[in-house]
Amino acid sequence: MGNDKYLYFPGCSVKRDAKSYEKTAFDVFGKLGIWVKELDKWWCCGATFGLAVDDVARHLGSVRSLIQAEQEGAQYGTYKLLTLCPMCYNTLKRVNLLLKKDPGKLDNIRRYLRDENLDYKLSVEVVHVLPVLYENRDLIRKNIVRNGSGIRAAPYYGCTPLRPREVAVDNPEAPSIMHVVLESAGVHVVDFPFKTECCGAYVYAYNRKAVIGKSSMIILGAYKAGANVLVTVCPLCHYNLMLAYNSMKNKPSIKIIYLTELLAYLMGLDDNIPHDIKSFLDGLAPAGEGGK
Amino acid sequence: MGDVIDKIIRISGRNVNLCYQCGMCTAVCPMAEYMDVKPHQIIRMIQLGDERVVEVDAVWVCASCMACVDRCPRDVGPGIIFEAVRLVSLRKGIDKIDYRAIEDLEAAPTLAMVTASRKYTG
Ligand code: SF4
Ligand code: SF4
Repeated sequence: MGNDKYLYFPGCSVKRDAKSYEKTAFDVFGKLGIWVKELDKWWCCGATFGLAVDDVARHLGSVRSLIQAEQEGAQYGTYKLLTLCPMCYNTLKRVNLLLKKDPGKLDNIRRYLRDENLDYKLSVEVVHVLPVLYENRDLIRKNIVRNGSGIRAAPYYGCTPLRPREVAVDNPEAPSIMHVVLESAGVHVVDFPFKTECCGAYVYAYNRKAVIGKSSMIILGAYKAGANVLVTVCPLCHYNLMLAYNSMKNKPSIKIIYLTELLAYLMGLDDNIPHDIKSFLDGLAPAGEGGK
Repeated sequence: MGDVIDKIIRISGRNVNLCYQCGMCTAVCPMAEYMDVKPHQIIRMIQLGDERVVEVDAVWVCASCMACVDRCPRDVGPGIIFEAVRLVSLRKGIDKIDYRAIEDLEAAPTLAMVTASRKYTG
């Protein structure tokens, strides 16, 4: 533990809209001694896995990044490719799995790559941050410096870390690894019925009402179960949940935050935590322990 | 079977005839309450060769969450088949996004734009 090495695929979101997710994640990795090296070059994964069986070209962006990871893996001695965004995780993982399971598809992909003198030898393993934090839960416990007993956190997994089941980071019907990570961090964990329910994803662009309906249900479900913090690992869930929250007339007192923001806070790594989140969490501290 | 149904089968690589209409897909679908035709009914339309399936609004409301795909006891893959139904239209150039109509377009994060563009423009 603590000696893990990972190559890292960022993707678009954490570089632009979810910067605090990435920055706090790296603060946490640094503290835990997890070695993470960002790929020198990466391509858009496509964000959603193409489901048509007759269109392998859709997977090329993901394949190029897998090849990049394979090449850097030889240099750095690890073939584990870490992602924070679970949409990236889901897409890269499914493309990788497809190529491993279907030699015909791999052949097709190789035909695209031949002219560029590229090949993919299937050596990469795509990993999401959730199981990495889970494996390091004891180290997390040792590095906690703030009293989180006033924080009632509802872990929200959503879809892409769990479905389809071939790529699930945990039991897709009853996931618990984020629960365990949060427990290790010393907060009160609130289980709620919609922890694996879809936020509505990309449908916001087609039927906004449906997405606001789904995401509101998730927020209110967590709130009614007693949570004051709703914890996500996905930039798209985060966006839809905020969309729903901002549309509510009576806003419940619950904050939507990234898992790594909460962990960084509890570990006293404040540099990259957004101000509104920091002050909200400060407000939940037990009497006499406001701030640090 | 007509041309449209053939295409759906070919693009999805799935066998709709395995479906025994248990309704599990509809029961677990998070978007079902916003669908004009429910997931198991869409599958039934395809079984019966009903080409009006391409007009069904629900396939665009499907979020590809894979809840139905994971739970279908016959491994029909409804959520995969719905992508094929979408692609029958998208590959003809009929797309389903109007960027100008999206409220707060400028506030939409890249991930939201990329996923929606992939799903609604093909
Ligand atoms: S869950 Fe499967 S078998 Fe049952 S109705 Fe849906 S597609 Fe048919
Ligand atoms: S994949 Fe689509 S149809 Fe299936 S459960 Fe999810 S939203 Fe419903």
